[in-house]
Amino acid sequence: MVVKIILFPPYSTIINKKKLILNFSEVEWVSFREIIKNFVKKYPKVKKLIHSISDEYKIYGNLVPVKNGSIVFLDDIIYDNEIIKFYGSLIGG
Amino acid sequence: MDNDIFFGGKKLYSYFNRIIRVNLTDNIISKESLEEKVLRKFIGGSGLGAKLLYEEVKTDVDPLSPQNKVFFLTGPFCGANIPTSDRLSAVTKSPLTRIFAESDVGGFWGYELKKAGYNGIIIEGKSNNPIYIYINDSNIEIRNAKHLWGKDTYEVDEMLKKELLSNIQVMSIGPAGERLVKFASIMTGGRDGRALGRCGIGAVMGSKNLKAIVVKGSQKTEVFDKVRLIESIKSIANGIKEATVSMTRYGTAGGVIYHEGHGNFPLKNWKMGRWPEGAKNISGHRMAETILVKNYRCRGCIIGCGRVVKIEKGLYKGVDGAGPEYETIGNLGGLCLVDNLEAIAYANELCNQYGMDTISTGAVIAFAMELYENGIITKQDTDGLEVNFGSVETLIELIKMIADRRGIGKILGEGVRNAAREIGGLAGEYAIHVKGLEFPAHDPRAYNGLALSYATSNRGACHLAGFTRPFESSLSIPELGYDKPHNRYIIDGKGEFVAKMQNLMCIFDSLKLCKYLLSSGIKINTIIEWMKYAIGWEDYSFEELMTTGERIYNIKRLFNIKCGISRKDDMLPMRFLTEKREGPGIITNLPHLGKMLNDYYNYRDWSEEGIPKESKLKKLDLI
Repeated sequence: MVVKIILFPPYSTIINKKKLILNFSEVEWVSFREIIKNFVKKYPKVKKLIHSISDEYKIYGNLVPVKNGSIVFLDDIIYDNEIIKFYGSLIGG
Repeated sequence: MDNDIFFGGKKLYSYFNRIIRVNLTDNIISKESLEEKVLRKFIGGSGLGAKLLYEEVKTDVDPLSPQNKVFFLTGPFCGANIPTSDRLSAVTKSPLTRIFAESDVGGFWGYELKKAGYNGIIIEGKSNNPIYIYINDSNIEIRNAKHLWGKDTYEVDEMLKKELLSNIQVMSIGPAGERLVKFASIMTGGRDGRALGRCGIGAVMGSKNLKAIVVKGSQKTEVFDKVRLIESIKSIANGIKEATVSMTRYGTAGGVIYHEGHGNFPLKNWKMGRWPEGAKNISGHRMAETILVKNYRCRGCIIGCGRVVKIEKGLYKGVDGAGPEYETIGNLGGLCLVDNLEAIAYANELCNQYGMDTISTGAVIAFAMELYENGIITKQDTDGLEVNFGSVETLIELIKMIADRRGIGKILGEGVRNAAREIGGLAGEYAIHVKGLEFPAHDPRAYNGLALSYATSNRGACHLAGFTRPFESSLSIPELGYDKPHNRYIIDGKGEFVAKMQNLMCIFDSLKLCKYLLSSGIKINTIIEWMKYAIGWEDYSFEELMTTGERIYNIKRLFNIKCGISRKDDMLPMRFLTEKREGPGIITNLPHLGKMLNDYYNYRDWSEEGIPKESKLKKLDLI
């Protein structure tokens, strides 16, 4: 299956791409947590921004993942060909 | 014709270009306009306020005297349906810091003022008796407010709506402003609790016996090119909504756990490293699961980060309205080690009703708690109250004592710098402020840019004047030369980075745009498009925008220079330069302020003492 990621700053500028595709073999769905793991592994430059995937409270500090206009949680299930947008975050005052 | 201001045959759109001036000493109300070149140089909001303050208020005036003035100003986009632009600035000389002061609020009041046909209102002089000002389109009256004096801000909102019209917008001070608490706020929106919080502007209103300003308007703002403006807004609106979904869901307080995790959240008057369980208890996530009723949106907002909370049982039953923001939770919660979210919501509501800045209130209480812990003040000084960290009862009681100016509350109501001077001895070592303004809820040891920004911000310790923190962690701004976040621990280049961000934020504060727009990576060019399409400045360029931001930053600095500010004041408390913050997950860092300051002054073309050079002021058309 494939998941399409649309990138916004700073992810787009760090990776120098506006969109990318992540491949997952022999599965019909993956959790968003797996997508993040795969993303960081494939693009280690973003590791500074996504340093913890244990806790979504912390992930949201630097990343706002959005699917169909709603926030994506770590344990959400993502299916083949779904599109997720990655925005930077400024959460906090 | 009444609404159309022409300059040399050219109509100026989006501005009504009409400012009300109310002299409370002489009971004179007048209306005036500004030349287009002045508007183009200072825009509106904070920039125009700084220009008017610099020209009209002598720097040696007592901030609480009739000679001080308050400038309430909207930005040119207000009423033009540009997202988040219906905000309002208040500019004055601060009674807390005795230097340049600005505060900023969302809500609906600024929009209603613009609807009434005005870009701003200037308050000067002093009334002999409590009064309020009623603006209903072209009709402006000074009215008796004797019946409102002593009432809290929620009561004033309700009383005036009953007395006048239900759909008016009310801005008022509470008892804290009347009693000249040095960090008194001005509140708008009644129970929605939107605050002009910082710098004690509420005390300036109180000193003038001005209890409230009420507005009602019925006019529309006309823009230069409506079609292209709508197209431009549509092209970015969805991105803003999507990029802020976590803000919409959890509010600003959604950052509590994240910021605590890397040593940015304030704890125990900035003495402690980590407090993960406490942070979880008072986080925006916990709020969403418990007391949150719905979101609050300022007029023209597509984000909706505001919280509306309700507590229906228990000790704090009856809390009903604005929920605590990140900064409030940081300072009334973490800084005082209070981990009870309902108690913080109640404390927040009390501050709103009394009309007190929640940031400074939390800071001054945490200061007292540390003094008490170290034996610098004792029960004898506190009327028997045990001022311990973590005590909810103490937090609540001290808020009441400060607002009433009772017991030790009288001293604490002066702010940490003045209170430390009055208490004497070693108290000054525990007073956390820059230029007299208490710290907001971000630790400058976690971000070098934040450290430099706190040290140099014109109103004192301010996280918004540079808004650097998100751009040192998770956002980029390629148009300023930063295509990835600026490394928060480096020193090289930090001076330039902070100065550029401060200049850009002057534009946001003058256009009155909410800084959360930046979350979607909004392009500076989009803002320039809006200036063209809304105002009609078709030749507006990136260079002009950045020069204007720099001009505004410098005129604020010039006011401060006249107040005696220089390099000696661009400092951080010693705690942040000498005491490491440590704990799991925290990268230990002490900001090298001296080197960053040198670079910053060099980039700004200021002297080693932090004084803008004549050549720079000429370039900026300030002399």
